[in-house]
Amino acid sequence: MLVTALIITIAIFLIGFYLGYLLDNLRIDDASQLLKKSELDSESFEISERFFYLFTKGECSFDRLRLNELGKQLADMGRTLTVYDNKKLTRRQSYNDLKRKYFISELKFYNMNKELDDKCGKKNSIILFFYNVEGNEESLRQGYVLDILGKEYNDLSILSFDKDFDDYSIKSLTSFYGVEKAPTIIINYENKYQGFVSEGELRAVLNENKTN
Amino acid sequence: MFEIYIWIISFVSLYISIFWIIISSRLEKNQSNELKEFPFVTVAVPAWNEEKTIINTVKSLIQLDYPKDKIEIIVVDDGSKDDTSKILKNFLKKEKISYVKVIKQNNTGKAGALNTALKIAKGDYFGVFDADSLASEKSLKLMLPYFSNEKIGAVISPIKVLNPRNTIEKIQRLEYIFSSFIRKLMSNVNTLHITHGVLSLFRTGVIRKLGGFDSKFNRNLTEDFEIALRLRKNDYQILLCEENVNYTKVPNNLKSLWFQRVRWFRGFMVNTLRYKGMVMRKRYGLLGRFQLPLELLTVCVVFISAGFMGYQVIIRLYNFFIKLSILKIHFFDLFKIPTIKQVVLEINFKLFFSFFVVLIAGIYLYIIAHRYVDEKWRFHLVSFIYLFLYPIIRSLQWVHAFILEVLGAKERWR
Repeated sequence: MLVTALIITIAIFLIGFYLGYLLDNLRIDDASQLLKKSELDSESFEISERFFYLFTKGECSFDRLRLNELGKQLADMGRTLTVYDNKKLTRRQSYNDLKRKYFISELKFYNMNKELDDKCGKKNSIILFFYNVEGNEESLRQGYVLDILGKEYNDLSILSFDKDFDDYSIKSLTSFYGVEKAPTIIINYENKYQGFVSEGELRAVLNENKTN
Repeated sequence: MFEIYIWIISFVSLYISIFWIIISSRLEKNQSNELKEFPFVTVAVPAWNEEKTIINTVKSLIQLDYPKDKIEIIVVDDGSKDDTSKILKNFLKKEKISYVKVIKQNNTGKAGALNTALKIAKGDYFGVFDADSLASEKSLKLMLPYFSNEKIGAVISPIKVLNPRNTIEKIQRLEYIFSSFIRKLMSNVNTLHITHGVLSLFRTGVIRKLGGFDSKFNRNLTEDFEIALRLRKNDYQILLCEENVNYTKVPNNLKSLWFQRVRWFRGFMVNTLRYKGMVMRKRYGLLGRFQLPLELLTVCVVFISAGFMGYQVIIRLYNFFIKLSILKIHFFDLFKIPTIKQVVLEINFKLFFSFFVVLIAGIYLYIIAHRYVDEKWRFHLVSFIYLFLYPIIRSLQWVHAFILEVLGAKERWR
């Protein structure tokens, strides 16, 4: 009886592992599809914007709302990846690859935003948020604050980056902005704030940018 | 670390659940043998401040379907501060009952009271019966045939809760149903090691040979558990007579329940440590190699779980309040009802699948336990509390008992 119970227990455990493995694949597929969609949307936006720019001889007639949506889409994607990461739900390597792709997409979006703002004048706000994954309470708190603002300000895009992620593009970004600790936020390409920034302070900066 | 811990707990829980399900699948209702001879039986009733219940308890013993010249009932009033013995004596006088003896002595504790009765007992069999319990009429006729060989040292019965009214009593009703069922399973694989006070029958000679009930060991808070372990240590078997059911009154408020359980758990710890030599000993069969190690492991798991749970609750509460303090009125703005896809994808199946199976196994055992004791089962608020919240309360009681033991807090059985 003891041995039979042991065999059944091991079998159930193995079934659990197998189901877990299947779900890992589903998660990776799901996240990859979201990411692919986001990349395609971004590319499509960039191409149409270039088309109008070329054929209307420099007119800035692109859809700001769509650009904002792309930013929000990326933020949602980031949230999904964070949940999987917090719960350690995916195989490490596959997850890191996804995360890398995601950060690269964010950086592409950032560059595109900068290019459009330079060409057409800045109308939207954009925040880079550098966080730390492990045990950084301030990053967590900053994340909550940015979540509120992201929800409230339709024209605000928030791009989050794991400060310590091992990728060339992230390292370039952190080195360019001199990011030393998490959380650090960069508002509209140049205003750097290291450490936790309260909701009130951020609101003031964003409102000031709006009036300018 | 947390993952490894969850895996260990779920593996152990799953293993135990499956083991009991296998045993229960082989369970058949016993057909009791008819008693051909009527041996002399002594039933001892230790009582302390039981003036409210003693008459009904003694009445239930008087009404036992057993020849009156073959039974003696000894009520030991162990230094009651109320009128327990006076009320009882008046009742016996009025009813002209001569085979019930009432002895009044200074308070010595339950084991001491039982030893007083044991000294003068004339019976070949010695029954222990708490003064807040009721015996079924056929108890002796059903239980005695279980003493089919010399190695059977004691026979016990399933217990049901007497008239459960409030939630606390109803939770205990479920607990007693479940434990009676598990005891039956233990009896079937010869790992039973409890002789409770709601009518346990012993061979008088064996108990005397083993030195009676343990009243000297001043930290023994559960003499019923100790005597059972002593019987098992001396290679005597304990069986459960499933055809007979006796009834007991249970604590009707959380405070009394809490202190009763803390006392039981302290008794468990003290006596298990005292009989630790039986653990993993081949001589004691499944009791030594499975049941006792399992119980020790369960206690360890309870302590570690309480620690982990406590830590998790504190961390989560802390994060909740931090989030609340930052988000303030926006707190609920960010709350979104997850889609089914999100819920499924966010479950860690590798970690929790076996937990789900344990839950299903637990519910299955819950249902068959009810069937086994001929009780209707249904899921209602009390079942939910019993299955999901009560284990948390029990964990805290274990922690409390452990702290009291470590501090060496003095407590007698009452």
